[in-house]
Amino acid sequence: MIVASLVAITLTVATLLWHQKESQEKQIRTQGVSLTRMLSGLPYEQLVPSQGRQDLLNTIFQSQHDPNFVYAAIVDPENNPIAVASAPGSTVPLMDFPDKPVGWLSDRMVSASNGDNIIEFYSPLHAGKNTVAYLRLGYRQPVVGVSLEQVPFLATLGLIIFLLTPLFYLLVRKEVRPLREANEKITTIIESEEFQKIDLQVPVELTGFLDRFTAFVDMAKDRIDVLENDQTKLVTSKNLITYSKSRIENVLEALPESVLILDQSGNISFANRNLTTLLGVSLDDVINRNPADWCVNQELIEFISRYSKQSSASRLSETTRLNVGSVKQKNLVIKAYPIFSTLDSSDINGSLIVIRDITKESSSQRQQGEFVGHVAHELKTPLNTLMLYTEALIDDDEDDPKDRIEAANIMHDEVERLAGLIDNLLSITRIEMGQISIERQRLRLHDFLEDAFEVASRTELASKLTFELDLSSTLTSIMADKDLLRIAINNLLTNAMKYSRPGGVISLSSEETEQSVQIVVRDEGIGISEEEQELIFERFYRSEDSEARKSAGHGLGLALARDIVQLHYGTLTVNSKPNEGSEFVIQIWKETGMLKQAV
Amino acid sequence: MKSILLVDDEPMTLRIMRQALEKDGFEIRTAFDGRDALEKIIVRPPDVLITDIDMPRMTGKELCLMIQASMPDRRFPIFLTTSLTALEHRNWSGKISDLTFVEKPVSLRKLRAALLKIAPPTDSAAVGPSQ
Repeated sequence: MIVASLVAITLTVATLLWHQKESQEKQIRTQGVSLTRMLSGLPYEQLVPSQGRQDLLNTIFQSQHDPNFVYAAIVDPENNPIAVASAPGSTVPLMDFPDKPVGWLSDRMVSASNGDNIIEFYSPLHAGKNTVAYLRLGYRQPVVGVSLEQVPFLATLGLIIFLLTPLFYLLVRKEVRPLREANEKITTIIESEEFQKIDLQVPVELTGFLDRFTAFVDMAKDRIDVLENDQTKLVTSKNLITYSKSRIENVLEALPESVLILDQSGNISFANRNLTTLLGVSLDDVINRNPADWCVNQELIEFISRYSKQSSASRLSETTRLNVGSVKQKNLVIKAYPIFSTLDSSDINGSLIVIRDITKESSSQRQQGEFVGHVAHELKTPLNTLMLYTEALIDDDEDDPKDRIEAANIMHDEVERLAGLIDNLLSITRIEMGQISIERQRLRLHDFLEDAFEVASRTELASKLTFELDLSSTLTSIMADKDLLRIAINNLLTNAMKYSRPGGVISLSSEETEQSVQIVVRDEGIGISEEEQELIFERFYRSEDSEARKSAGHGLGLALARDIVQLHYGTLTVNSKPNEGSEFVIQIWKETGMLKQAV
Repeated sequence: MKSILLVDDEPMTLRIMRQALEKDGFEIRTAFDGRDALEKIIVRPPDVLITDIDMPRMTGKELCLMIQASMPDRRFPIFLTTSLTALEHRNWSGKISDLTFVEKPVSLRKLRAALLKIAPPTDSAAVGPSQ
């Protein structure tokens, strides 16, 4: 504040002094011009001193009493002084005139011998029409400075300014205090990062401003509230959409079918994992790509492409059937549906493609059809014989009793065969339908297996084969349905013989552990490919292998054997290699083992 | 005397058909499957071939296709007994000439009537019964 006071004082004093100097200089110019004009108007003779006349120039110089008036001189055109009047210590500076003075009165700046700046007024003096001399009046140029008389005034002025400055400062400070407080409050509010009402006591002049400012802040706060609210709604809505999307995707993943969703441009926007398994492609290769980029089946590409290019007006769901895969053929049913926009039901957003693998179903249907044909054939074979013999009996004119008896016996056997076949068919159906209950009894497994093996090895199929029996004499007894288990063992042995090559070995062996018994039927026959090992237990399945096809069968033997073993809570499994042979293993839990299994 | 080759894996069927057809004056030879039959046909072609379709080693269908392929100028007719009545089981037979399907159970009366019509055993045999 002191510095501010001093600066204010200095500036004020400097301004005053400068103004003083300016006014002095102006006064000198006025005075110099009028005096030069007056003197140059006088006759030359009156100005130059001569005998009997007063030195007019000196008289006028003396009468002026002006401390700044330093000389008055008359000089001839060569600048030699004719008459001179000067202040003590001052001399007339030597200074040439211009060759041709521009006017009769002019002024110029000259330097005195003591270094002072002199304002010189000059004018030519005439005698008649001739310039005979020049008049020169010199005034010292005023400088900025303080004279002694001015010191008290300036000191008083400085004091007043010095006293007024703090007062002014305090007044200003008082006026800006509400603004400063408002500033501090706003700073606090900014630092706290939350909106508050600005509550201030302010002078009347600022009330309006503050009211408007507060209204502006309130408006901003309302706007921010609205934006925050909108943002919360958006986040919630986004979460909901994400949740719905993931739920829908989970549902699509859980479907047993393969699912593809195409966008309007025909690119895949979603595919479930079943598709990757079915078509052997990875999800990364599929997403955001066109089916033509990754699908190897041309028919499938054409179907999808044609469907997704259809106009929305005519778009209905479509179905097609395809066989894909060169090695292992798959039967596929492909259904395509339009996906309508939720906003405008006439607008289509894309397509949904659902691919269902019906290989097993169609295989099962085909096998069922084949089975019915086979059953018909099996039934017709004894019927054929019956027909032939009945006709022969009827038409036999010779009436040979021997032939008649033989015919009757054959017919009897065929009827029995027919009845047995029908019984088997019925029992299989009942087991498959779950309508059979097993009658468990204690079964001496060693004797039971030995008998079954003996019977099998004596059948027609057994010729040209070698039989090996490897049963432990201490083999345990189990609780089982003897008749059913015999069918299962017999079916396994019959299969082993049917699919053996001449000279092959058929073996029946047993293994016993603390908890279970394993019965193993092994052959050295044509074997079963890995792919077919899964299928041979299916009802009606008959091998595609041409060598296996040569043996008669109705595709029920293994299905029935597995059903029977499972009725005993056991398992029937196969190990096989093509051309090396097969091994069928029945595992049946002993009572202790079954309890442990149950626990 | 006209000869008939009977092919069937059921011995009883062979036996009763042999008895019946021999009485009609045919010379009867038998085979138990397609392969056996083919060997006998190569040795001496019959005047009529009557074969079952479902047999081990070589089926009746395979036998017919083999005959068609190896004997383009065959003269004897073929009767094929089958229980597989569906048309799809007969599609393969389109190119085989002089082939007749006989539905099981086979009626001996109808078969004998057809045989006597297309291949009378011999003139004498045909007249024989009337003498």
